[in-house]
Amino acid sequence: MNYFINKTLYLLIVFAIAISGVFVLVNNMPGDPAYGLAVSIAQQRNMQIEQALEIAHKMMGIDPHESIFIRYGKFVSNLLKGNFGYSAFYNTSVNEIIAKSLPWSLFVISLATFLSFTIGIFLGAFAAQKRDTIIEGIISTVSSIIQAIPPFILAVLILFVFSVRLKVLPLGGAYPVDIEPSFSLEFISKIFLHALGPMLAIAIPQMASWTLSMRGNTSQIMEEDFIRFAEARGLRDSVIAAKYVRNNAMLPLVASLAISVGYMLGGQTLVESIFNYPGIGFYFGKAIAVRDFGLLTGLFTLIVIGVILATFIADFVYALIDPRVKLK
Amino acid sequence: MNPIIKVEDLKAVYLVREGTIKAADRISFEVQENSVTAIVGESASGKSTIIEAMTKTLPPNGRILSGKVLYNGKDILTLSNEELRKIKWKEIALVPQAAQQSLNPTMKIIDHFKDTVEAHRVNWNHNELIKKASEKLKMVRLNPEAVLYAYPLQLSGGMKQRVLIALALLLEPKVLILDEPTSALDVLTQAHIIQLLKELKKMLNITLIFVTHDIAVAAELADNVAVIYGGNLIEFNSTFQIFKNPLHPYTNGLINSIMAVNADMSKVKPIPGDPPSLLNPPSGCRFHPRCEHAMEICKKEKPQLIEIENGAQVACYLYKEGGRWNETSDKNRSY
Repeated sequence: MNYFINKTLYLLIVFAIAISGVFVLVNNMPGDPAYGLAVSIAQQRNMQIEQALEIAHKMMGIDPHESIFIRYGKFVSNLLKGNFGYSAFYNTSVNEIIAKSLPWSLFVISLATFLSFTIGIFLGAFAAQKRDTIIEGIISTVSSIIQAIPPFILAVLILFVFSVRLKVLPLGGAYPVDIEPSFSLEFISKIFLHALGPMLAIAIPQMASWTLSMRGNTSQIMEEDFIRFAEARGLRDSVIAAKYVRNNAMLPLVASLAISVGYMLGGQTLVESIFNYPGIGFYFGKAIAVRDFGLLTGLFTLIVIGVILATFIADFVYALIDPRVKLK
Repeated sequence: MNPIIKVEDLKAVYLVREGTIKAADRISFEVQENSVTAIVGESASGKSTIIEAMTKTLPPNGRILSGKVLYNGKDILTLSNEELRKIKWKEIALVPQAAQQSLNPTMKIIDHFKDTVEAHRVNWNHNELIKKASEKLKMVRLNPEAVLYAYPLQLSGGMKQRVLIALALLLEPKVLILDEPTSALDVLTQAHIIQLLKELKKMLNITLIFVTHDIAVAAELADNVAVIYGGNLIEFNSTFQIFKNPLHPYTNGLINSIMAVNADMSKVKPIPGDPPSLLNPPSGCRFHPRCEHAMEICKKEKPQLIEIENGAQVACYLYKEGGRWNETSDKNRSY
């Protein structure tokens, strides 16, 4: 139990540091966070930029003469209340944007992770079992090449081949605009079809990297004494492969699995932008492009929370599945 | 007495980048049923290779080039993998050297017992399995309740070694082969394991073969001793005879190097020189560069293992079949 208390304390400390980091970073960015809003106000109402700035400041609840500490206090107290801030560009609360974009991101990420992890584990273990054969050579070489392709290039490729040329995949969005969202089979199948492009762009390089890690871990485990001892006891190869090799080789990967989900939350900005897919990454990219500092801070905080939580979950999962962690 | 295992002309090598390591070179010996045989030699002399080749459990770069291993008249080396798998553990159990890493770190001890039983299609239900496993654990003086549901990391080195022995006894094999059962353990635990093996030998109808670099352990446990030097079997004799009257100069040196035999510390003598490289072994007798009795022929031709008297076998030009070759060997024994 001590283990979990320690981890929880650790989580809280990391969280406080990360949140402060986000705040300092965004506050030290050049330019006024209200400037974007002020420009649009000035254009709409045909007034001077100084006046518009004042209005914008009031709208966003910012006092430019306030000290950084008071602003920090407000930021933290808002966060503790679950308020991620205000988006000037979309003229709505960041919470609302998160509420509508997070599900899409999680949907694509979990699909991509599930697919890439299962296939990668299988391929990696298979390659390691076929050590020093052509099959292993092919799997390893192809994986190394695919792993090196950045997801956004793959995204452009998929978009070009499947959406523009072959026209089997939609061009963008989470679902067709002319269909009302419902739980009908047609709508659900459309959702999957629309998610397929970004999902593949994320999953394929991921799969290659799982394959390579699993192959490495597996061949390392296969050298262990307990494998030879299992063979000496006359255990069947299939039992050894599953219980002795795969289970031990997978352990470190399960931990990185949770962490990779956390990182993907913020790391798919380019893929989601290319597919016009309304996930967290898409809004994150938009926030940078239009200098919407409020949205940027909010999403940044969310991503940081995601990564920390994922690391935390990874630790928990690791302690659950590996007896060596809990007991020490 | 019947030989339960007969090794004939066994030759095994390891393939490495630099060439082949000739780790076991034409080894022949017999193991009588219900006897204890010790295979003694320095580190890297090829003693583990012999038992691993005998059970076909060599590491991936190991190759058996020739020879036969007859178990009750059947050649183990020509069996198919599936036939061999069925014999392994049920009839011949091999406890490997690295007891510390031989258990799956993510599995409880009970699951190791369970897997072993399932692999051999023994129809025990869960209670029977627990009963049998507990029985064997008690035999090696472990507390079953404490050990069965523990993970390997919760056990000490001596406990792990005993768990392996208990696992080996589970299906009541006829032959139990142990690779360095006492090394990597502290002196007290060593004494404990030796005591335990002695008791097992009395309690069960079992043939024991064990490998050790410690000739004192061999003296305590074994009926017969096989001395290995540089991948060659150089002497095979009963334990009593080997200590009373060592034939090969190397065996002689080996016995002189242990303190317990020599009450006077000044008589403890190390063997001069280094163990031979098995990559490029010396020509002729592999011991000749370190041997005080080396003759011209020792450098050129390899001595064959010959029977001297009363079953004593030695590979040395100081002896001839059926008796001593020349008297110098007796004179020289005075050192």
